Amino acid sequence: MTEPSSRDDLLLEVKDLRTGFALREGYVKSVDGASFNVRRGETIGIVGESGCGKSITARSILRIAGTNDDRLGGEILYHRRRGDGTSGVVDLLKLPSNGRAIRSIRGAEIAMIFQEPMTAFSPVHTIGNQIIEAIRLHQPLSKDEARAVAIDMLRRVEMSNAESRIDAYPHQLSGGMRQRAMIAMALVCRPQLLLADEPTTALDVTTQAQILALIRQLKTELGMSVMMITHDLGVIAETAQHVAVMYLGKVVETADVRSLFRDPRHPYTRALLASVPKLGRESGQRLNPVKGMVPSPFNRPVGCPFNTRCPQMIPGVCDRAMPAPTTVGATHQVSCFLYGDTTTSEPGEKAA
Amino acid sequence: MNTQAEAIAAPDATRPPRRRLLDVRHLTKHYPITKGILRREVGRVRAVDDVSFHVDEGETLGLVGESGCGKTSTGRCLLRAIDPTSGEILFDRGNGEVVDIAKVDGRALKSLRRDMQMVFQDPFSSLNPRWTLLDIVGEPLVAFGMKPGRTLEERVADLLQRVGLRPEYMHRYPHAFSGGERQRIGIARALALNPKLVVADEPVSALDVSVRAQTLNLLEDLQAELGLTYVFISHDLSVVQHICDRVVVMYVGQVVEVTETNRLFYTPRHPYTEALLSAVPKPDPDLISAHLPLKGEVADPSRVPPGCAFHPRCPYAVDRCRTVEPQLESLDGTLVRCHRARELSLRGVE
Amino acid sequence: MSVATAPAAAEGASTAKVDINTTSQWGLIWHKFTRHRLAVICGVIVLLLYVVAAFVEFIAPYDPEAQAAANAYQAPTPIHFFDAEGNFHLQPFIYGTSSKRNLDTFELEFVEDTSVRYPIGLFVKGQPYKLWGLIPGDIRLFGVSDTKAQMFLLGADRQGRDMLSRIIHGTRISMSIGLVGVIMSFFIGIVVGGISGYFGGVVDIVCQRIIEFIRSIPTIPLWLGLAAALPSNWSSLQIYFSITVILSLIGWTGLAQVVRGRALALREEDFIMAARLSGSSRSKIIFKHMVPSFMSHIIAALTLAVPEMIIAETALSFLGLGLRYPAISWGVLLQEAQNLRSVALAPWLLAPGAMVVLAVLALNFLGDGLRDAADPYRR
Repeated sequence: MTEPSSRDDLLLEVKDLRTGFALREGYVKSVDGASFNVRRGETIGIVGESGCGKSITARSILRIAGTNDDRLGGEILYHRRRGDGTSGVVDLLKLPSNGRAIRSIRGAEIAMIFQEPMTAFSPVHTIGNQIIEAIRLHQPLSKDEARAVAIDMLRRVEMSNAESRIDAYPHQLSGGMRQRAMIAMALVCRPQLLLADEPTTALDVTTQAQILALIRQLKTELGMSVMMITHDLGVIAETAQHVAVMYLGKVVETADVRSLFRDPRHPYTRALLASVPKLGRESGQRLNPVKGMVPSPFNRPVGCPFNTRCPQMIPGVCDRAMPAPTTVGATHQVSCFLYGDTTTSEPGEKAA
Repeated sequence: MNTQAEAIAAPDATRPPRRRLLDVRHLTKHYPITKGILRREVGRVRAVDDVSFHVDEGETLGLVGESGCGKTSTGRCLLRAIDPTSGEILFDRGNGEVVDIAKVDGRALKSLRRDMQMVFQDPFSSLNPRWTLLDIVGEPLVAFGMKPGRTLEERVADLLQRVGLRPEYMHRYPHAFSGGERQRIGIARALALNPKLVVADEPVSALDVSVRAQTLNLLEDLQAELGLTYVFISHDLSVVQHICDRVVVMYVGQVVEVTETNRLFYTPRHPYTEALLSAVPKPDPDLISAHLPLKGEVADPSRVPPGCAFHPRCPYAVDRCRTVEPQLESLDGTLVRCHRARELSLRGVE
Repeated sequence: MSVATAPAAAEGASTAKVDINTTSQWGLIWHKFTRHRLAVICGVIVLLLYVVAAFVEFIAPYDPEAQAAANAYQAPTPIHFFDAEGNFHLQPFIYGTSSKRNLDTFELEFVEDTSVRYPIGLFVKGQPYKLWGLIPGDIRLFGVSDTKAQMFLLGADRQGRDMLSRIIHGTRISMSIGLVGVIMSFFIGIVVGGISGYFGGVVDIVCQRIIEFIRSIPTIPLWLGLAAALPSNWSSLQIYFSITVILSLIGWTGLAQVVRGRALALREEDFIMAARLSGSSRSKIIFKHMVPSFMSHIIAALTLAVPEMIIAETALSFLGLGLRYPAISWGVLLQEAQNLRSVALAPWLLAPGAMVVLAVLALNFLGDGLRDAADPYRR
């Protein structure tokens, strides 16, 4: 399934991730078979709308999704390379969700930033406190040493007056500042992978541009990979090298960013691109909305999840079985019956 | 100069001039900041600061800007949902009567409500969850004298159909509907009294990407069918370029640029507009702009910088900009508030 | 900022029993409330208590004032299903009792006479009464038909009066004083809270400080002071209403704060602005939009205010400053349990206290359940 090129620049392999929530009304599948890879030094964009499972996927990597662990399926293979030269592959899903192993990875090797910095920070501690805590959890430094590291990190994220801002409370900072502080907290231990869950959705557009540029710059400086989760196709185009499109818990298409925008294959990807207003020459054309609505996760369609809204649905095929990923380009895969009639080896999906 | 852009930007000489529906003059809304038990005023939040623009009948005027720019407050002043501190909002009611919305009161204000309505941003808090759709959409009708009964139900059914909802739904409650559908309910309510002017305050920002398209199409169709005039408030420039005829760009309570949409997007005159345009992420990987992102924070309307409010962040600022406040001046069909507008040559979108 | 598209109630989608699409606010509240089993059980208990309070004359086996010195401090009469020979009788019965004075301790001792059996039946003819003081009758819910028998299911007090009957009679006043007091608090609380929340600003500041001042006054000394100021020659009824007024003059503050909080939150809601823009009048906005929004919260707050009133009345009467003889309330009954000797001799005199505990707990759990269900739209 992966490219024939070398495997040792793989950082993370998500294979057929399945997880969900046991609610009173029944078991809700949030992620129902997501597979994609993250390479070292690469930014992968995960794009999809509400309810597609992108957030849960990211949180599952760090085991903070809050889902029912007993129904967890699939693998998340993390190719760890430590400073002392050791390396190895760890299946993150097999680790106990609050054990020492995963906690040593959180923050130090894989870190996450969130959409709303106000809720990611404790309102009763200064940001300095919280950054220093993150440092001392993983590194044997004294308080003063940690503070110096924290101030340095705040300077790196271009927070003005870092020495005084470090003692500010989250509510005393503007939205952009808070987001920078959150980035500082996440990167202070130099993780290899940064999970960014809609980091700029709540920001003004000029602040968003600053933060995206900052993430890009830090990524190069620290040599890390970034998983950029968003619903904004513009952000994806500007930041990602590789993209995975998700719909209703499944990855429906993965491609390098150029192929995805120039030559989208999956009908959902096409519909999404056609329904977004563009800037520039193409503006003003009538938008083509995706018809229908996202189905309720309690009422998942049988077969391909998009079949109820797909303009190219093949009756009898698309509503029977789930298509397997087909390779349509060097770095381009689609899960759609239009491109091959292979089905997955699992039995046909039944509605939840 | 880009001839294609010039051609697009040239005014259409053959279109008949439209009636001016709304004329906003020096609109100001300041909020005092008080301290202490005696509530001494220690400062002011200049939410809307000497804003002037006009809206022609049948057009869609965009109000764009980032947080703190005053676009939402302006929209609310237009409808007298909040009271302006000073200024005039002249509304042409069509029968020769021109009313100053800012001064009118009591019964006259209530009768004005028929002519202007609002569509809100949040589809969850803009509908009373305890009321049925019939109650919600029918509220304006009942407020103006229609009695509950057959006629009311028929009118509500008609409105629901116009926005693409089934009339049978009128006995349901808002929690039965998705965000996009609730937004339609809000639109139906806004149309109930056949208004002339609709202020849409970020109507699609809270919706999912695929639902936005449906809602925008609906708004466009309704405008064509019913001859509506929109004031479209948004921070999303791609939506604004798509739907608006003219655009007002605001920064920290002031108007910094007003012009026709295409002229704004292809030949902006104000450095802030240029920065906004280059900051918007475009869904095309080959269009990554080489422009550096704007530095600094969005200005705080309670602490407006002296001189030109934008000068701390402006890459083209000179000494004059730090001390002298620029005025809104006309330049080739654009109104722009910048000392250097004539000499700068700024980049728009491709 | 994308709002998660709520799992859209698509065609035909509904949770098991309730069609969410067309259910009104009250339907949703009921649905949520009935899932809270403890609250429902307590709701039933409270309902039963009020039924008892309504029909005390019918339900009590004896006239609460029927005295007989010979029965002083008689212990509770045990109910038997099996007689001395070990035979089972479907209808429970009691034995006759005879009393004898113990010449050493000078206490009256009661001995069961197993030769005489009195079955306990339903709807027996007992002492005559007037239901609500108006309707004469003599059928009682349960009792012993033979007048020679003495059935003291909860024992007798110092004057030989049946405790069970007295407790049952006490239900009426104890449970109703809470209700009447709360209704008065309701009006004062809504008005003050509503004004405070709707107008905000200086009005709000002043109202809140007044409320805080009232709440900071220690309640028992305040009640005692007010109650002691009542003329002692007033009739029971006058005292009853005065006590109610006193209780509610202090109790409205809690409700006012709840109302004010909700009104403040509501003012900012978009749909209130939409209502103004639609041309709705201010009174329509207040009564059709705002009041229904916090009605359920008010009901929950009221339900939680009733037990406070019950305890307050009980405390006042217990201390002798509230209701007095011949009025019967649980507090008045507890007055007789004030000295240690009586309690040592006749611990069943504390039974009214158990009733207070039962009523207060039941009302609290019910109020909790209502409060949790009060806002079914909380996202």
